[in-house]
Amino acid sequence: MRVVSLLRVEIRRLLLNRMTWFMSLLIISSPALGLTLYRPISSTAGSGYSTSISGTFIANPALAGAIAGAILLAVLTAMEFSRPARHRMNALTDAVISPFQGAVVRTISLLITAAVIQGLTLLAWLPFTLVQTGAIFQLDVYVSLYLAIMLPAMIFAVLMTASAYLLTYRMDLTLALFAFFALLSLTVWDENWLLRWINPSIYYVSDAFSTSRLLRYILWNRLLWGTILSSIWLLSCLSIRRYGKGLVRSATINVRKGYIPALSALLIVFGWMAYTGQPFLDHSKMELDSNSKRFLYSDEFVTISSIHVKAFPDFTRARQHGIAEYQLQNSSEKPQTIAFSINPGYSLSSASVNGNPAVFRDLHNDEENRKTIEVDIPGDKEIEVTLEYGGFPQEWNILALRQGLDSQISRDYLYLANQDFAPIPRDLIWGSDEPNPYYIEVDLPSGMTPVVFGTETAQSVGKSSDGSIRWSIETNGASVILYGGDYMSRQIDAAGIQVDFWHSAKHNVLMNAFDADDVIRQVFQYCTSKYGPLQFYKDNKMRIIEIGSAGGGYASQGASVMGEDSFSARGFQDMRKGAGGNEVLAHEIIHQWWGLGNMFAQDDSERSWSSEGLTVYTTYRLMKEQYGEAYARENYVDKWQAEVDDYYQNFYIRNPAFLDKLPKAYRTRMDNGVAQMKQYSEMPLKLLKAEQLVGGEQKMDDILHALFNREIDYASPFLTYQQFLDACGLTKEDLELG
Amino acid sequence: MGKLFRYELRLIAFNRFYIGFFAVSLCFGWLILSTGTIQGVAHTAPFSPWSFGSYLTDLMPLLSIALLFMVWSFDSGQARRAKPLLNAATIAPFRHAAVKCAAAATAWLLLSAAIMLLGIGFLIFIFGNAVSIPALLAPAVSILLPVILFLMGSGLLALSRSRKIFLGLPPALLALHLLPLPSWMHLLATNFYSTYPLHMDMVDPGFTVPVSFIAGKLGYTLAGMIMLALALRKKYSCHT
Ligand SMILES: [Zn+2]
Repeated sequence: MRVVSLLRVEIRRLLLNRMTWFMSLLIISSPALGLTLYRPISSTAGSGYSTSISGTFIANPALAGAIAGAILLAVLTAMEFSRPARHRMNALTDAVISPFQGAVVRTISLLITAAVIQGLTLLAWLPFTLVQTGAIFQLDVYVSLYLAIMLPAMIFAVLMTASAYLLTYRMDLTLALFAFFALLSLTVWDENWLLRWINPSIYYVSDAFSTSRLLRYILWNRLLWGTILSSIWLLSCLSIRRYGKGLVRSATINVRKGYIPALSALLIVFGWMAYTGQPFLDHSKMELDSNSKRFLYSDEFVTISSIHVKAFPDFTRARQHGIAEYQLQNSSEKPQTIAFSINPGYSLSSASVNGNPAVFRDLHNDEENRKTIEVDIPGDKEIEVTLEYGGFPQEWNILALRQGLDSQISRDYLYLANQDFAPIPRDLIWGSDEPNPYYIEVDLPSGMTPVVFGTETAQSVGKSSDGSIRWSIETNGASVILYGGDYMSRQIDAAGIQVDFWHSAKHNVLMNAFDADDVIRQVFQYCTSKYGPLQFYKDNKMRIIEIGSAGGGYASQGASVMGEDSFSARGFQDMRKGAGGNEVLAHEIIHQWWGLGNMFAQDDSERSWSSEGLTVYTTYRLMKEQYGEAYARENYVDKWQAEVDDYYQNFYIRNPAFLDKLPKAYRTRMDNGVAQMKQYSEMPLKLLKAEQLVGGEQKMDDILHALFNREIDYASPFLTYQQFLDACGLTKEDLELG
Repeated sequence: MGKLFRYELRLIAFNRFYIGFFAVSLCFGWLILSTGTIQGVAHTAPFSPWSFGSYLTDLMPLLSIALLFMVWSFDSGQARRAKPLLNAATIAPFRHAAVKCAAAATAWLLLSAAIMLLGIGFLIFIFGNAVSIPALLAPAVSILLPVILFLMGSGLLALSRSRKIFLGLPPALLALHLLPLPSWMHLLATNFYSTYPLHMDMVDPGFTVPVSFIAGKLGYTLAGMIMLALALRKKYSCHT
């Protein structure tokens, strides 16, 4: 009771303090910095700064508010804690309340001040945010982003500064410790998403799909620091000076309050568990091994004829749950072991073969966001393997700083790709010439429309008692990529191809306003006129899908996929002004020419000749035609050159004698980047050089036209680098860059 | 004179704050060396003047806050208690203040020297005689000199008016550090050492800087000296 009344007095005093109001005003206005000066979310555009509307008007301001709020509250906390000392009234205040009560009351009143400031910030910025974000505004996203980003940073600053003061009883040292701690988060811990307490790592905030996973992992970071700092704060309470004694003597008196060290230890254990047991990222080894796709389990005796998956994602807990049946034929008449790849966050709850329980092993060998499950099968001819599996999908650990984009299970968005959707049978041969059928049944909330990466369309087949809708999709292959959201589709006739374009309904106004159909049509027309029409589509159909990701996409036979940032208002506006904003859109469509069918072998030992070289080069040519030479040079050629230089001019690459001095983690990162650099930057530069050597763009277009329409030799169907060189009349050496 | 200087220096250096800060700075320095510097900046060697300069600028926010706190403590606690004693002595207040400044500057330079030694030691331990120590001194001077003069000057000037104004300095400094200003305006030379060599169009460029950069640094140095003079004058002339 006493503490509560003291608290009331203390809060009243704080609220009547001019300094508090001055600080509060500064903090409340600080999100403005995030609009212009401090924009930590990385830009997804080639030129200028651009990110999603939510990123621009909610997350960046909240991140700026977090830093400003933390710093100013740290100063306020240090001043409040040192106030009695500064006014030489220790003895007096200590007589009225115990120093322990004093510390508790001061800390809690500062925490309440932080919460009040946060509430006022939310109110103050609401009208502005509402106007700026317009149609995509969602109150819960606005509130939860601020509460996850800014409020905890202020709370942590209070706890940290209070602890530092109680330990040192020195205002200057307290603020120095805080500065050190803030700088750690801003610099040294830059690449550790769990440790960044003041500036949580955010790569992109979705406008049209979901921020649910992003919020989950930021909250995990907050949980971690919340427990650790509470623990430290409790410990620091032990060092509260008693009877004018020093740190050590006071601590020996205070430690008699046994519950404090016990609670503190418990919280530290929680913190440790939160750090090591984070559920968001897998434990793939950091070295990318280009030869890792070796055929371990390839067995000429076991073939596959169909897959049937029933999936029941849990949209509240963001977990996948499913039952997958695989029809296999074992012609060896002997027991065999087959293997499946699955997301490392999933586990198998049961496996059965032909109705009998089967032995299975989870190898826990995370690699490239997959792990292996082995299942023993008997020598029967016809085999039906049934796997019941589920769990929280983990994202690949090398993408730690761009989390929340590669997998998602939430009420507004579903994204389950390959091993995230269901176990993928590994290294099995099709039973017939055609890929096996893949039947999907999936339960989705009403309002969510499923779309598959392919040309097939989902049918709704019923409604369950809880209101969710069951969908059925027939596709084929060994794995599927399933998207779900408020999708709508539009039909575009693009240079003779029937394109069905699926995008979020939230982007409908945008697509109409900027005539996205026309933008898509232009890319098809450009490629068709330069290289010839696409021929390998059944019924001349293909699909373009907008997904809740950013900074890239992918393409395969029948479908091209790109992140929602390919369709931003800013990107479209830039295009009208003569600067391309939607490169990814063009890139992924161009892949339909360079990259599919019989274009490029999956594994090229050189790793530099791939579908990316010609795709990137063609994108550059398209942008050059649309926006002019200067734009294309600055955003393509110069960028390729910069990335190539970055690698070849690296000190360790130029001086390999020193390479063993470089810690392994950095060597790994360099090695992992080589293939990407060679495919996306070095090869386009070589193609540009080839263009000059063969006598210009027109000549190059003729050569590429001939290559695209070449007679395919089915013994070696893929287009090789040598074939390209021969067509140009050049040698490998001719294209080496100086 | 020398005696007073030694007394003031001891007052700073055997202080819990200074020792704590010393340890914290060395820790932070080690982290930067082993995660950033070791990779080399702007394609240059980890032991190039550029990488070394980048190491020092990474530490500058912390070091400059240390400096501000040293200035702050001119006026607090122990220092205040010692005042009556010293005022009774026959030293002119202006000279006394100047000696205190010199002592604080020395203590801060000692801290910076320790950080430089840590860096040089780290590089020599890993890269042996590939490291040229004289080459590392130019970036060090260009970083440390403007910072110490400008911060002491502005700190003392702010203190001579009010302690509240002074409290605005650390946030202002941090803002100056984080904001994307042209490189000559950066007191702490943020990012200059890690980006400028990239514009020089050659590999392993020697240590040269643009005129605007020198002008900026000289500007801060001069402004610092002027503020220092003003502050010492303002505060202590009335006492005489
Ligand atoms: Zn591509």
